[in-house]
Amino acid sequence: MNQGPPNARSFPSVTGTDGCRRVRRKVPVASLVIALFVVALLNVSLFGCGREEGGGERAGARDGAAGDPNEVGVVAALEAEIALAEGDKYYLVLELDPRTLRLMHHGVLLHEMPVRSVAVGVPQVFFKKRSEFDGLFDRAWRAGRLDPARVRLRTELEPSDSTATEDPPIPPLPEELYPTPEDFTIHYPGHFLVEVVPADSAAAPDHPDLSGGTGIGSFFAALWKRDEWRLRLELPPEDLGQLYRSLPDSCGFLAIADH
Amino acid sequence: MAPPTRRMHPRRPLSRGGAGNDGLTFEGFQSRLAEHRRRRSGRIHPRWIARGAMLGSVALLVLLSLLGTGYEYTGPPAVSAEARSLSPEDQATVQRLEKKLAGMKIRKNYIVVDQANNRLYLRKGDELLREAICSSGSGYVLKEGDGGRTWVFDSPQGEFHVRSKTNKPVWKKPDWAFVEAGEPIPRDPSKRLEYGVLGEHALYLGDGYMIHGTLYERLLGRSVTHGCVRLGKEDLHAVNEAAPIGTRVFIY
Repeated sequence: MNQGPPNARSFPSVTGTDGCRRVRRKVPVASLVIALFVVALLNVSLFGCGREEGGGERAGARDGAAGDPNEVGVVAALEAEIALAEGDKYYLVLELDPRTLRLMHHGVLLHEMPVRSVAVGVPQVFFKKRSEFDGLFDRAWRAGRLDPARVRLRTELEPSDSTATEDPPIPPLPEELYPTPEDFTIHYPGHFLVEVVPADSAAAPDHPDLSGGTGIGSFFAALWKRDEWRLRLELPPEDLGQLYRSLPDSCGFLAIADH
Repeated sequence: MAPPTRRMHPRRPLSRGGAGNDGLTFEGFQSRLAEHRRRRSGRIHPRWIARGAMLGSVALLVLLSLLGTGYEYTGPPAVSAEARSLSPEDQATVQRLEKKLAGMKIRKNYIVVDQANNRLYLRKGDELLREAICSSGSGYVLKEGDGGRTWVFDSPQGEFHVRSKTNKPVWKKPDWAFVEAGEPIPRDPSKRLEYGVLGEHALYLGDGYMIHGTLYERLLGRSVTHGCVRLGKEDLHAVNEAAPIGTRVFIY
């Protein structure tokens, strides 16, 4: 005798009475992965917005200053430059007007090169910016690390035979001695990165290259390295190579805003 | 006659003695199953639709994450015209700091040597007076026999000044010159002197380092020296004229 309701489906039931198969509802692994992924993204996006003060030292009390912060920004820029000039290390100064990059030591100009364009990279997670980029200007950044690291190959000389009449081999040119990458970066403690890329001679000057910034590398950099600002400088290729080959170790950096 | 007992599921005998729990016979079950399969054929099972949707969602999330996570590049921040005006207190501070910074600059001529690129710059303040191709330290390492001395032929890095100047300089060959040439080191100091190899002028920077001329101008632009800075004849003359004793020299 059928015990079920009149319209109930009499096909093998999956719940209920003894003897029937019990279905255990499994939580799909993929759902868990998605949920964790979304939670992680939201977490980073929502709570990762706070900016930590990095290794760059701000000379002026800009954040706590009353009135227009740009007024104090001029003072901060000058104090940061003096702080770098009073140190023992070489440093780079980026000026926006005119757009130049200067290698300095003790306040003395050593070399100056034109910068074709400047762009600021701000990390964003899931289309949400994680910081404001004004924090990288008018601040003294120290102990820059070149990437890729410059390697100078050293040759060990053998004392020559005094009776030999052969001419010694011609040493390599700087371009041959220091293999120069197409572009390079200078990393600063405090999550600041200077990208030096070759200027596209076909592009109009004053027009920064705003492309890039996506991809696996940028994805993880933005996701995990908190508030890493990027400053992209476009230099003529010959200046780029020259800067890479000669940039002193632990070089400082100062980007002066257009006050 | 009752059909033979047959187990469709290890735990669940479908039908015993002609009727099962749902009143369904084995033949009836088979016919319903066949009907169910017939209906289902040509359709995608909902389970697969769910799985596809899940995978699609994951792919979409990954794509959006890759596109939306990274760096957004913009131009440098612009400062408004109002923001450029300074209060009197700030103006005074700015003037004081600018004066301090200006005091660090060199008003006289000074020399800058970029040893990696083999360039020498003669500067005055922010003005570039002359750019010359030079030769700097080769970076080679010379060892004197087993357990002997070692020399590294780098140009020194840092700030120096012209200590003395010489016309028609004579080179007093150091020990490494003899070791490198495979010659015995002479005891007689006069045998260390070599004439005419340093060009017309030499600007002495200390510790045996000089800015001088060369017989091998074809090698200018290459890192070839034992630490000194070599210049071509014309550039050496110009630098010698423009750099009196005390001129600051920066080598990087």
